Amino acid sequence: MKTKSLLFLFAVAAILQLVVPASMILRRERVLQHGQVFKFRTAPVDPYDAFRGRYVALRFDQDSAPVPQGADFKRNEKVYALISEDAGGFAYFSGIRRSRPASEPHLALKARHVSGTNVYLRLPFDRFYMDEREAPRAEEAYWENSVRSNQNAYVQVRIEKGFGVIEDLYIAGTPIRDYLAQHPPEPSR
Amino acid sequence: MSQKQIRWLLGELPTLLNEGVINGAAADRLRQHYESAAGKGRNWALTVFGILGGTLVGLGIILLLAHNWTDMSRAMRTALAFSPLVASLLLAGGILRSGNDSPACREGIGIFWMLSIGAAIALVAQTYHIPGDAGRFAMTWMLLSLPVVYLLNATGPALAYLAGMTFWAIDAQEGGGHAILFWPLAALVLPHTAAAARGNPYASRPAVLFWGISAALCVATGVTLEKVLPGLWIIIYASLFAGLYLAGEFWFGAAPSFWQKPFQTVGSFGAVVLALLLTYEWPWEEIGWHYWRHGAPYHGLAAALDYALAAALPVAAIVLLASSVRRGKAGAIFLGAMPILAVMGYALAARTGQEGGAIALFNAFVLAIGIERLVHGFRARLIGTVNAGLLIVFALILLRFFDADLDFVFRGVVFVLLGIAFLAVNLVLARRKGAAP
Repeated sequence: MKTKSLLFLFAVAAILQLVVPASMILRRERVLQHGQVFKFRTAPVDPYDAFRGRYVALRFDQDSAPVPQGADFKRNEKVYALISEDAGGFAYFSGIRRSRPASEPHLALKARHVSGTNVYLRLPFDRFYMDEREAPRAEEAYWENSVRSNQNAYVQVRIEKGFGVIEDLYIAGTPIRDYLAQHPPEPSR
Repeated sequence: MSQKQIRWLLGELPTLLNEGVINGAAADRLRQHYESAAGKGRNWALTVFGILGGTLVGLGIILLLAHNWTDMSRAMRTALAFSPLVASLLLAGGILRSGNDSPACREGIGIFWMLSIGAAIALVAQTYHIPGDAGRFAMTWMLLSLPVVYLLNATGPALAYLAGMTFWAIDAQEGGGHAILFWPLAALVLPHTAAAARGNPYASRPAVLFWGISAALCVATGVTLEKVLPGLWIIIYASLFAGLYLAGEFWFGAAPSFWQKPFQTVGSFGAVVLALLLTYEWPWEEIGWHYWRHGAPYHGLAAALDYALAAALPVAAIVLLASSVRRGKAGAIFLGAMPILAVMGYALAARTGQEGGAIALFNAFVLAIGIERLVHGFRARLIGTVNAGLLIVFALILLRFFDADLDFVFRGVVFVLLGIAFLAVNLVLARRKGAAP
């Protein structure tokens, strides 16, 4: 009897342990298949995470949205940021809502701080994980390619129902891995 | 008794038997008794190797996954993420079905199982570029891992759980979250601890757990404090350390070695270090209700915990102190008095805005503890206790000399005298011990 109840509890724990990562996967796969595509300009830098490996940290050009003067948003408050596209086809935040917008594209996220008529946002994408040898080169490629007048790195994100998933990182209009393959590292001296 | 002593005793048995000191039956009983003790030592070594093995394999897999094999499709990566987890589930299921009771197996597989859960979540996070929220990662991982502790009755994963939750609390408090949740979540390892301590609370398994709990208590108390009322930490930490020490003496007073006294060791060491800190001015500056803190980062509810702790911990420590004294442990009154002194010092500094009184109080307190240890050590002929007393007095004088404007010759002479005192006391004690029959 004791073994039986133990095995039952084991089964419950095992199912939970499998379901949690599986649900993480399913939610994102759904967005990657059906979500609307947006491009966010970014500046990648290359740090390291002991558990998840090397990644390119993303710093976004656009991390705030305008609000009416005197709008009272609190730190860590849950908000919905409306997304629009500029003339170059890049995404920016055009406004903030407290309740979920019915049809406009938006992201559900948290307010970081408020300054005047701008709410700065905690973006739900801050890393792009890469092969441990490629990540430093990705950062290099970005800096070589990016002068003040020509910031041409962006992440492509798919968004559905306020939830965003990163699809790929682009340098000069090419997916980062293709870009690195076309520009092999110079042989070391 | 150490393994070396046991081996010596077992080696002596034939001689004792030949010389007629003991008979054959007694020799057999002694052999049986001590050989099983030696066997326990081997089991413990096996368990440690089991834990090390599980840890290394698990960490190795995490490193391999962290390399990030970009050439793989998302489906393949998903399969990869689940394979260590499925393997550890099969292993654990096998153990549970067979009823295998070997602690080495359970601990080793337990740690591997726990790490494979972390690896699965980490690889999913890597594949989908999930934001780097370390606290949330730790929380998900730890909650999913908690069943490992109970299903396998494994202590290694219990300690890892405590460490992970402490990490989460630190991260949550920095991010302005509710680290207060740490307490109910950490308490989830208590049933395991109680079960491990049943029978022999001085065995290796409960001792390791108690060390872990003491360490987590000391860190998490500071982390979860909201620090709304400046200086309240003085009362809380003084009571925490004194309470740990008293609780250890009260419930585990019969522990044969230092290693089996985690509460007393952490409590008394913490109390002395804190008392030495409190002989400085800075902890007492700008404390009390005149310097209340407000604002967005301070949570009212979590601040209530500060007040609850500041009230409950000293009371608990004083109740323990009274019980210890009633049991005839008068020595406990020295360290045990620390919460009362902390409250007095706090009230004094907060009311008058002057630090002098509180500082004098704690200088006297440290000196009293040091001398009490010295005297007690002399009486009971315990060299370790005498040295601890000397060390405390020595530390106090050393600190005073570094912040007082005394000239070098004076300081030099006192240092030499203190050193001679140190040596002389040891010599006298060693002689007495040698002379004793």
